[in-house]
Amino acid sequence: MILTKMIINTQTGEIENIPLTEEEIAIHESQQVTDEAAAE
Amino acid sequence: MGASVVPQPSTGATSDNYALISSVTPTAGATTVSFTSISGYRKLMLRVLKPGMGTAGTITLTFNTDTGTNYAYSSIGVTPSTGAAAAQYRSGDATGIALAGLTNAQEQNLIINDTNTTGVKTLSGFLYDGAFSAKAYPSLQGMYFASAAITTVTLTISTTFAASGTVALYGVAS
Repeated sequence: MILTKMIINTQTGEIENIPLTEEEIAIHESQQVTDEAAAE
Repeated sequence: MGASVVPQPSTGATSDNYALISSVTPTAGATTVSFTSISGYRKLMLRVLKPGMGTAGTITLTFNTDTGTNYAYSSIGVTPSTGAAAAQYRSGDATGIALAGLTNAQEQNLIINDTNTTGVKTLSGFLYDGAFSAKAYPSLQGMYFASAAITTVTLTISTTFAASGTVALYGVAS
């Protein structure tokens, strides 16, 4: 699955799905680890 | 004794007529849903209805792509069947407002005040799933300590959204 950012421009109604950069993917995955640790 | 003066209602008051700005179903694989270029609203209402989540995750609300420690919130749920307090979440110096406890079977409703001012923004809301059960439904209060008017509202999920549910933004014109 491609991880994306969904952006809705409220002025134009345009919707974009922008793939995450490698850096953003790393940040997202680290957040998941943090959540899992907090849940334990 | 002089005649009493009865205070008159302010004629400057305007009604809170919330109009739909945008409503979307999150895209499968999205990690954020952002409403951008928001302008001309003094209040916003955000509704997150049964958001599909790839796996159970936590959704966090931020404004203006600001992930600094400029948020504070508190939410306490009460178990309907017993009245006992449950599901308490709170944080000061937070980097966002956690929509704690929200699952893909529930809905979160939030009203955000003073969105077009340069002062502190306050917000309040509740979580609900349409069933009066033994679950706890937190009532959420929060603040956003930043001077800029709100132009972007972002929901970030710790997992991924699935292609179901609705995220809707309403506004009261300035």
